[in-house]
Amino acid sequence: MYNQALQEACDVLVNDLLKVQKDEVFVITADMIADRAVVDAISTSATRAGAKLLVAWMNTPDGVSEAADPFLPGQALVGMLSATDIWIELNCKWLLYSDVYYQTMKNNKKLRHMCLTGVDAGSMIGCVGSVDYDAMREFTILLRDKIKASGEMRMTSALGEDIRFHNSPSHPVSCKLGVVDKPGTHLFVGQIGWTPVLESINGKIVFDGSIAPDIGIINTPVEMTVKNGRVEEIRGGREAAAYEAWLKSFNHPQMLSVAHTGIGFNPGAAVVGSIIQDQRVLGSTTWGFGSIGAGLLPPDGIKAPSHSDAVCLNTTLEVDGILWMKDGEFVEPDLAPLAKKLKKR
Amino acid sequence: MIKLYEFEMARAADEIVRELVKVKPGETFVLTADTRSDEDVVNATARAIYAVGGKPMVIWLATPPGPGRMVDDFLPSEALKAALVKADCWIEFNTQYILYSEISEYVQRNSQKLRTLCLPCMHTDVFVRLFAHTNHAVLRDYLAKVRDMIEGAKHVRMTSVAGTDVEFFNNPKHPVFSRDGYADTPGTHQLAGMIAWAPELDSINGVIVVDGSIVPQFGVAEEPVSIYLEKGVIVKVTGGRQAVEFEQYLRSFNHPQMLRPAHTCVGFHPNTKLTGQIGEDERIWGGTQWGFGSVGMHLIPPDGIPAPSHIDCTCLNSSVYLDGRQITDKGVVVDPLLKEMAKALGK
Repeated sequence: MYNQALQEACDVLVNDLLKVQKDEVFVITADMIADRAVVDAISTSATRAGAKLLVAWMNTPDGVSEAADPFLPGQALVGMLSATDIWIELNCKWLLYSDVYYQTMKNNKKLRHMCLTGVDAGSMIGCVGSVDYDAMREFTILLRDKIKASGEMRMTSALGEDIRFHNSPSHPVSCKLGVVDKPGTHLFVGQIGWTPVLESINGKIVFDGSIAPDIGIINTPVEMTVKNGRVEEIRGGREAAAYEAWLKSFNHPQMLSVAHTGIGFNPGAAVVGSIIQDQRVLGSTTWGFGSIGAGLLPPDGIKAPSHSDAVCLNTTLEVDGILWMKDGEFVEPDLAPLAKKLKKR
Repeated sequence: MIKLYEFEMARAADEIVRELVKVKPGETFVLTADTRSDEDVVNATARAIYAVGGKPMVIWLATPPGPGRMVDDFLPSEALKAALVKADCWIEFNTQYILYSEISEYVQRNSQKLRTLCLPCMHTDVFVRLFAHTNHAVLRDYLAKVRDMIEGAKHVRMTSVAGTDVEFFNNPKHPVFSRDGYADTPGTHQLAGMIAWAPELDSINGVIVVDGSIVPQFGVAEEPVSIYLEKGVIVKVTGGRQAVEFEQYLRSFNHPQMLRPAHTCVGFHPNTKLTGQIGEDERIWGGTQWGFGSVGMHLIPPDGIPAPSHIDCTCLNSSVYLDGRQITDKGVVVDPLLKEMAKALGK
């Protein structure tokens, strides 16, 4: 049954979302800790759809993004991906925001890149196979438009989080509608991300979901003090110490700067230690640090040696004085009824 | 439960990576395979590459309907080419090999650094037999001597126990390759154990009796297949069921080069046995081998001769005469110098 559910989820990805056409060049990249069952199931779906499949396995880098570059067969990868129609990235140590990624996206303007870093069978079934895409699109567009129109935001939680910032109308609000048949980088549905006015971010964030890369699921909440968009202090247990050491190991100021925030609302997502799923948990919020993609902060973003994402669960979100989420549940009158329809029945 | 030759695989892979390809830290090493390739062989090689500091990139592909140019439209050719021209090393484990395809030719033309080792259809038992237990340095010296002898000959005659009797002239413009397995210089390299060259094609006359294998399309020969040649063109094929199928197969392409030889070879790998595996069969000690169809650009420079596909046929227990001087008799080395050198290979 599990295999059947995985195959169905991969069929949804290939046929409904990517809309793969016959003879399209379909490349899957994976590292040695990627889930082979997912690679094989997507391969089956792509072959069935008539694509020209190429699966490239590589060793597992010690880091992600730019930190992964020295470990990768970079130019061979860039060359290959520059001559590809569809790229499914299943590498656990993600290539997103690496030199390989930037060069590829610059060279190949037709590429549909699906970033599924670290996705295992359970994530595919939950985050792709269990979604009602019509409801998801309607909800996502509504939430995106509301964020675009918003000004002041405050996120709090039962664990003591209290962070405030304001948004800029000139910063894009990035969301995925589940239609990935257009060029560019695509992710699972169920998350909206944007870069606030960086200098306006002040307060305390408390992470209790997971941190990627390297740290994983959080056992002891990690408290981070942010002043004017810069990390001032990190406190907590073992994970807090490890995270602070990791961020500082790059000796790069941008690694200690906020890159983006986000809201998760994929009904199949659970905290599993895989960031692409963790940051989509319904009612969670995510903060990114380090490199900022051009899509979030045009025209060039901000480069940094790496990027990290950290997740807060059960967030309470207040926007311009109106309560949108209460302890992770959407309560805003327009959003609340739609949020209940996101899971496929 | 332990897998077939699980321990020995590491030694075979190390022999390839360290001794033959001489991989250096940081080199990009692409391994290509199709869905009929032996995954254990591919992964053992990738492990050995990583162990010496190389960057392995293992590319798995669907299996095309045939080898050579039959792969071009089937595979994601542009993506493959782009990866390969940027690589330092490439081992081809594909069962339907890419060699002789447009992909292969493009990569050869556009990469000045790529070291390619063609090991199509390589399976665990062959892999271990031919790599884990072979002294390649000694074999290289032996093969170089045979190559020099062939290069110096104008006329060649090959006969066999099964009835082969074919003769031809060499063309001094066609290189004679010693396939010694070393892939430590740019270019296309092959499994060790044979000398390969393209004769003056129009001069080939006689009968080739295939009693080894017909690969990769047919496998081990069930009964001898006799191929009659006049001025380098197949005029008749006789034998049993496979002979009929073989001729039908060649004619199905409606292409004149599919009815013409592409190259000949003499085999001298000390550890081979007849298995139907393309690389191993054509290197059987004392055998001769003929390819038909596309001719690689390395065999007849500068462009080779294109054709839709390629097929290789092995004759066992052969006798080879170079300008009338016999070097092997029914598969046994008789030339005094070669006989002495062969002792170091256990022959």
